[in-house]
Amino acid sequence: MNTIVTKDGVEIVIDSTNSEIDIDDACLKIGQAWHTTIDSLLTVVSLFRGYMDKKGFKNLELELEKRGLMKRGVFFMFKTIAKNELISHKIKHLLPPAYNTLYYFSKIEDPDVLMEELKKDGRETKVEAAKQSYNNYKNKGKEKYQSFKPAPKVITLASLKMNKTEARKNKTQIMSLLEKLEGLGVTVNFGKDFK
Amino acid sequence: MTIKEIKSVIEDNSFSSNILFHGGMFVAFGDPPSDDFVVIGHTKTVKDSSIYKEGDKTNSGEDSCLELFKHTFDLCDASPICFFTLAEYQVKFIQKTITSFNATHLLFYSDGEGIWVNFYDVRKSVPHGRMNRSHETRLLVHKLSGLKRNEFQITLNVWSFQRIPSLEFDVRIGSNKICVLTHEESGHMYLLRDQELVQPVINFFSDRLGQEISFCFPARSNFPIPETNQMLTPDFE
Repeated sequence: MNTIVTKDGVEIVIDSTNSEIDIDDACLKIGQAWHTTIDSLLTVVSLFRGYMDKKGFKNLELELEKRGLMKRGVFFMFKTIAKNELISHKIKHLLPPAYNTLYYFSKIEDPDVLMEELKKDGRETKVEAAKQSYNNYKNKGKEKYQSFKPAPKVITLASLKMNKTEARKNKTQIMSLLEKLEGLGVTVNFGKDFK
Repeated sequence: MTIKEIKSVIEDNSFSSNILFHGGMFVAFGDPPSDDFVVIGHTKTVKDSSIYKEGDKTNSGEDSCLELFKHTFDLCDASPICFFTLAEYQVKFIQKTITSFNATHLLFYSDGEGIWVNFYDVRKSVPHGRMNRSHETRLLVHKLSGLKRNEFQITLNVWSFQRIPSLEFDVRIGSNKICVLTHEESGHMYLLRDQELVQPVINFFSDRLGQEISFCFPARSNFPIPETNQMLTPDFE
């Protein structure tokens, strides 16, 4: 005897006469349902891709939230997934059937890095692992920027002028004072007459 | 609670003396020199429609608030030319570079090699800004991403860009020449209008010469003086 459970319009048939699980049958059914999940997610992603290039996309975000269909955070996740064209049916066998996991993967914009990360655990990837993969990718990019130190702004402090004879007479003392200034981070440019 | 939130929005957007509240959102319109800048954000408790001018509530009706909100919201909802992401550290880098380079404008663009940002000081291209022959026209070119995107170019005002918080943004370049930066967590949107300036330096790779070539416009070429022959002026750089 079969028990038929209907949920969200989908009929699930379970053999209730048998007290033991038919492993092959269960694996097949769960596997099929699993495939359906990623298919559904990719359908939503395809819809987003279709709407994203059109006027009114921000309004769609507001309306979906107003109608209780999709919260802003989830909308943003699907939008991010849709922007990464690599996330498609072509690599369905590697994609985890959870939109939050897909979201972190989709933020890895470099196709080579993304494929490498997806191949690690494939569809079994947990959200924490995907998040970690994205953080690693992000940190690599960040390192380049951290090593960059913009050149400090240089300001002109003063221009010194003096009598040539006096300058020659006190040259040693002047040079010693200017050296002290250089120690304070001042760049001293000597005039062509002062040698 | 509502008044507290209104006050907080007004304080957080001190660059704006006109703030609109409508349907659980607020719109802050930038004052000069950031009058090309608009912030659209969400409110938690403020649901009513009102306009505040310099901190005081005006007597604007709901219909006029709705109309103004619709017009403004349409600005961030045009069909996009290109999408990309700006990481938090990239926003910080751009903002620091603006200060150290003393730039007035940023040019964001994409080509076959990726997404770029150029920094320059447009004041150096104004005839009366040129003091002598040692005058410099500098351009800083930085590659943000090596990923190919749809081609676009947009010039932004640095005074407005400096008002953006250093966060990660989803950037959308609209066909209406408006750049929308959206912060994922808060949902706040920062709108910047294209300044449509001509960059004073053109840089390209010459296949014939096998090297990078830069052309610098003489300051006057952006502002031609009528009834003069530009080619005969001796101060071309």
